[in-house]
Amino acid sequence: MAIVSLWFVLFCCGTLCGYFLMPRPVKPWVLLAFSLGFYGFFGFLPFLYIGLSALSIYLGGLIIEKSKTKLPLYLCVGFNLLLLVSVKIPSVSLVVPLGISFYTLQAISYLVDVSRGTISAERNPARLALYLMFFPTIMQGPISRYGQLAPQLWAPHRFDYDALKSGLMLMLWGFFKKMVIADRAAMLANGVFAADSTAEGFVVLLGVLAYSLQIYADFSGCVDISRGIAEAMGIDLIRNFNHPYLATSVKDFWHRWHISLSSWLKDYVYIPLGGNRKGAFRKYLNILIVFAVSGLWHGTGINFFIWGLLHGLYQVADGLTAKLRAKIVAVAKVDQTVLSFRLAQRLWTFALVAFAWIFFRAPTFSDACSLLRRLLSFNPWVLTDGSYLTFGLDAKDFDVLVLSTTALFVVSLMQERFSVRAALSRQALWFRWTIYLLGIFGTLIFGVYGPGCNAAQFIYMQF
Amino acid sequence: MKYVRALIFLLLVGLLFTWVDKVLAYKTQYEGSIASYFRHPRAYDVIAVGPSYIFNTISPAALQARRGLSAYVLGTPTQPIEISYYLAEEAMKRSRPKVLIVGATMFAFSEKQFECKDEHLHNVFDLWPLTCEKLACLSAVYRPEALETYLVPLEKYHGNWKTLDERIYRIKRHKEWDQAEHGHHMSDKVYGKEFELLNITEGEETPLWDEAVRYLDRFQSLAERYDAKLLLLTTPLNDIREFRWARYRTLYRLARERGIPLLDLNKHADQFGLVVTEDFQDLSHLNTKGAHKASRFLADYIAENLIGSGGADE
Repeated sequence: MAIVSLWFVLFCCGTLCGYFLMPRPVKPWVLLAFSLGFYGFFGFLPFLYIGLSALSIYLGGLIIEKSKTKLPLYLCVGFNLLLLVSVKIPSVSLVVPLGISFYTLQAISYLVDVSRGTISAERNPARLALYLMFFPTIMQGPISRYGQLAPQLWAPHRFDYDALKSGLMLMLWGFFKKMVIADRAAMLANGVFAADSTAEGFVVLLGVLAYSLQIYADFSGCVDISRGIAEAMGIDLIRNFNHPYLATSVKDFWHRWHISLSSWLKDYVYIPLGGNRKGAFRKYLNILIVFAVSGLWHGTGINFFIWGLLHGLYQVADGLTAKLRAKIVAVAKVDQTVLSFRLAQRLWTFALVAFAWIFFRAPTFSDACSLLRRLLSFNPWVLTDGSYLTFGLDAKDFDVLVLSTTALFVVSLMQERFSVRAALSRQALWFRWTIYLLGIFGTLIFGVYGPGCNAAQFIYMQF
Repeated sequence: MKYVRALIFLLLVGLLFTWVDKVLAYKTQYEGSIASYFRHPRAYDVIAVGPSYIFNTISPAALQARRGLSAYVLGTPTQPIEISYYLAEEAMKRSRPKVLIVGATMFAFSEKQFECKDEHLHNVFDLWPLTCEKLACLSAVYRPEALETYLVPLEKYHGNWKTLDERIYRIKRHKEWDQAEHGHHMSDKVYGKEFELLNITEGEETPLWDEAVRYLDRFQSLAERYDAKLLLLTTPLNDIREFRWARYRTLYRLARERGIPLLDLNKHADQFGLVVTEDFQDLSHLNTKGAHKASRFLADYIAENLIGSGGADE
């Protein structure tokens, strides 16, 4: 079942109706049934795979809690990592279960938390299964912790009109980002990043910008849809994005981008490695290891590893040059509070992040190198002679992309200061309805979906 | 109060959605003719269903002029038998005709040849209101990969916003079709070459595919249920494919056995003055001139053999 489809919308409506119409003790079971049903749509083999894995996690949790050694933890985590690696290698993999990487990280966090004594092992297998397979999070996260999510899932939430409305608004925003922005930006990005592409100079630059936009709108759009469904049922999922392209440093970027993964890596990789407690060298080495792991989590290709390593190197360089930069700023008497300074920081951070996306998106490492070579051509005229419109995006689609991206940017700036949904709820009826209708019909008309539109699968769904 | 507001909002979304759906749906001449039927459903004396052979041959205007028979033709190119059946079922319910004409070619052709193109299915489904018959028809031509686009055409056509001016223009053209040909597709083209008409004589038979026989029985029960006469119609055409002749023979025999009237216009071509070099637009389809000749003959046949002296208006 595609997430951007009528069937998924109907499935969500069915889930919401089923959830609210059932008596309170049955509600969590309804959620579990719909989550299992959702997974069942993707075939029996993925279902079997996840079922076996869930069984190992359930039994593993019980054993780990009683064990005095770490051996059961290592065995269980190792087993699930092995399963993850096996599906990541195309020549070995028989089946690629939906959202397997997100699932595995949630499972590991549960096992480690049980081992640390932060939480008790779950005795009720259904409760654990619901945590692991809750359908909004199984798609693309956010990677939630057991202690935060499981109690909410099992609590019977009452129908709350305002929560439902707010959740639906968030879902609509997610669909808008995915269908109108991400998949339209993908048309240009795909054309520029194609193996046989002849794009050069400014067109490559546009393609990289388009991909930066695509991956953000795609991933955050899906998370908004997930959070929206959960919120409509009264379940609060953690926020996974906080306007990452407004970050003023790469470190700040990682506090805003895929927050649940950053936090997972910090808690389960960086801190166990020693974090920053064992001197500067170990600190920087740990950062590099964490980001290399992050890259490999996305895929086994060398380009993902380089993408991760680049982000690690950015942060190491940032740490090593922090004092020097502070001195320069002091000597030059730069006012750090002015808008222009923050703008320069944001642009520089965005440039670094966008540069790293080239390795992330390019099919192979050599493709990325070829693209970088072609990026060096100086051909600004392609922006005025219409050459950039021959790479998959026509003039009208380009206009829609520019307009919708402007809307995204404006909303992001507003969200930095206040809750847009809450502010919108306080407005006059005619204004609210106009915005809602614009959102609904803007997405339905200008969205990229349906036959003949080559709507892209969610990028992070493949991880 | 907030629930009332929510209800009103949903209603507003529904209304706007219906409007947007219609504005953006791609409109062809064929779709226009089927849509026009649903826009102004009323009683007709004759309803005809079938593919292009039928809508190119039957001219409701000629039926009306000749014998005062009001008629509507529901057809799209390569229209499959199951779609014809459910369109007929819908039309019987809405128009209560005295005669139901069904194209014979649909039965004689093989199943595979009647795999309708997606665009033609949209001609039928896009503006067909959501009724039990439509749902049954959708399940009969079940194409899971495209099912939702038949239910919500906007999913397929939303990209038409790029040519919105033209769409609006075409909506206006719909209104012209409403008043025009009642499903008949006019053509001034002249093929201009001599050829032999289909001539089914005695000989070997080939069994029809199971679904065709089943639908033949269903058409018969449908007509009986609404107290209408069923007429199988073979339109003038040049079908040189001998493997089909054997199927026509089977169909003709099955029709005889079931007491279903069958009119093969090829056998009466001389009677209504069909001139092959002037009255065809290609080897299989009559042009408007030919359609008028055939329809006048058809009107006489219906009036004299199926419903007495004339139509409802007489």
